Parts: sequence; C-alpha cells; structure tokens
Amino acid sequence: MVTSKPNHIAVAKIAGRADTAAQGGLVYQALEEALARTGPVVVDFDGINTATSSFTNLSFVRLLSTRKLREIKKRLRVVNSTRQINDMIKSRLEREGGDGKAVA
Amino acid sequence: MAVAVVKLPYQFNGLSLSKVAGDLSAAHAGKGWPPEIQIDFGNLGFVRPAGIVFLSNMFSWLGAHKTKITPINLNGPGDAVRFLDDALFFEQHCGAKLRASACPRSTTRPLIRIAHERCHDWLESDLLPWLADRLSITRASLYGIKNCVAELFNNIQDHTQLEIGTICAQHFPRENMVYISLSDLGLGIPGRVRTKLPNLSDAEAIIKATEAGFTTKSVPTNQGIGLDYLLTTVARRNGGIVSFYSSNAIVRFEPQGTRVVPGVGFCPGTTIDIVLRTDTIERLPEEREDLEW
Repeated sequence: MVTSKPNHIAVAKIAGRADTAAQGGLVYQALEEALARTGPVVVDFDGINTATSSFTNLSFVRLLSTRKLREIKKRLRVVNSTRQINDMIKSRLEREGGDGKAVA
Repeated sequence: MAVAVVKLPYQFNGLSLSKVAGDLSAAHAGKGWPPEIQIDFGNLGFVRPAGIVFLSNMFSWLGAHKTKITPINLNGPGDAVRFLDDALFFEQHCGAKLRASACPRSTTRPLIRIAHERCHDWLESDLLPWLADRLSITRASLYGIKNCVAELFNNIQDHTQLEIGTICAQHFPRENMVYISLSDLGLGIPGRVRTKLPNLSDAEAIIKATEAGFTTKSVPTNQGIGLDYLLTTVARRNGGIVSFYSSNAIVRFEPQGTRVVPGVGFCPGTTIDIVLRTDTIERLPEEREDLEW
C-alpha cells in the first residue's frame, strides 16, 4: 500500500503554530525525514498566519547546515501560506545561505 | 520615620518616569530600600501606553525590593487616573479597580501580564482581532505587526529567564496612530550586550542589540534577527517609531534615523514602545498564497 502524500508536511498538525524555536525544531525533524526521501516536499501552512524568526531559524535555516540553498529551493514548496510567512522564510534562507554556501 | 512620597509628573511618559525612577534609585539604592513609598497621582495629566507599562514596571521593580507601594491622591480632577483604572492598572498592581464600573475602553487593550505559554495565543485571539476591528482592515494586513510583538515575547523568554511580559495598546483614531508598549523586568538590554561588548554605553548597547545578526547567544540557537525585523517593519516600512527604554538610556528609531534621548534617569528592565501609523499599513486580502522563490 502506498501512503498518501508521504512528502506533505502540515505545519499546524506537526507543531500547532510557528511561533517558537521548539515548534521550529519539530518541523525541522519532519523536513529532514521528508528530504531524505526522493521528490519534492510540500510544506503546508494551512491554519497558520505568522512565523517568527526563532521558528524559521530552527526549521528552515537549520537545513543549510547540510544542504545548499539551491537544493532547498528546488525541493521545497511552501503552500497555503501568507506574505509574512513567505517573506520570513525567504529572507532568512537568503541571508544565511544566499551565496550558495552551506553553513556547516 | 516619615514615608517617602514620590510625586508623579504631569507629563506621564517614559522619559519623565525614568527621572522619577532615577531619583528613587539614587536616594535609596546605596542605603537600602524603604519599607514603604507613597506614589502621588495628584498631579497626573495625560498618559499614553508607554507611561502605563513603564509605571507598571516601576511598581514591579519596587515590589522586587520589598517596598510596599501606596497610591495617594487618586481623586484628582483629570481623566488620567480614570484612564489608568479603565486600563486595569490598579486591578493589577493594587488588587482591585478604583471604581466598580472601570472597564477597558474600546480604544485600548488593557494592561496585562502574560506568561510566555499564553502570549502567542493572546496575540492571535485578542490583539490581532481588536486591531483589525479598530482599523477596519483584514487581519492579513496586520500579520507583520503581530509578528513584531511575537518576536519581542520570544526575546523576553530567551534573554531574561522571566516567564512574564507586560503589554498595553491604544488606538488614537484622530492621530491615525496605534501605540503598543511592552515591558519586562529582566537585566535590561545594555547589561546583556555588555556581557559580550563591555565597553559600550547604554545607548550604544541598545543600538548594537538591534543590528541584524548581533546576538548575545543567551540561547544557542538565537540568531539576532527579532529586533531588526521590528525596526524594518515599523520604522522603515510603516513610517512609525520604536523606542527602547532600558537602564540609563532611551533610544528612538524613527524613519529619519536613530535618536538617543538626552537626560534620561533610570529605566528598570526594558520597555519597548511601538508607534504605528495607521494610514500607511498596506491593506492585504485574506488570501493564502504559495511561496515563490
């Protein structure tokens, strides 16, 4: 049997919200597991309106320790989001990994 | 022994209150804090949220020194004491409202002490819908502003080991302004920054703390982004003003630049005052969107 949507991460289901570093850590675990598989990864912010820098650092920016920004951009799709969340994710990732470097 | 009386200034803002706190500190810190102080409200004229939150911090600061506070002359002719009562100041600090009928005005979110585990819920379920309703705009238009306050709540938890922050907000419709003031009673920004850069003055330390990427790493994962986000959102995009009151400094971040306020007394903990222009908030639809890299 094929599990439906294996690379679909519903942030509200996994972390409840996107306010704290601890919630970011939960999403990071899910992201790492999903990225270890093949194919695109969908991060769904349905039901969540804002994301803090603490959440974003611990979820998305942390991925730069093992991956380059261009790989993250190629594989991650962020959907059902808001302008604030999208701006936060984009600005944080581009600031920390903007020149293609991996932070590790 | 006569009870010390502290007369509150007519102009009830962070600068004037810092002078009151500075005088108190100079008079008592060296020889021990008095068991009781009377706070005289008789001269009180007008009050804004930063004054309420600052005064709240001052009461908590005196309480931390085991000093009993007795408010006096609360029946003056002006509206300021009634406003403080409606903002639930006396309920919080004296255990009861002055008037049974006192209740928050529609233009305010009253003074509230919020434990960290509740602060993000409060933002989502209280401040955000109140502000959207006051300004007749979508909640989506306010997500950036809401997140500024969320960043400050996270800072309180990351840097002070305190679980509590105090917040108050007010809409001034005729001025097209919203004031949101937040405080904590931690070490203060200068004290934290000087653990890393010991030679900075209080004002220099506050300015340093707002630089993107500067962090004292009080939490290993902290990347020093929250205050820069606040200044970008408020001073650079909205055209508003953010003021920091901490230790012996007040620094204002305005669209025209940064201004260090002269003649400051003492600011217990940290008070941050956000002044937003309501006419420059971008109106956004309540629509979800996908991120485009």
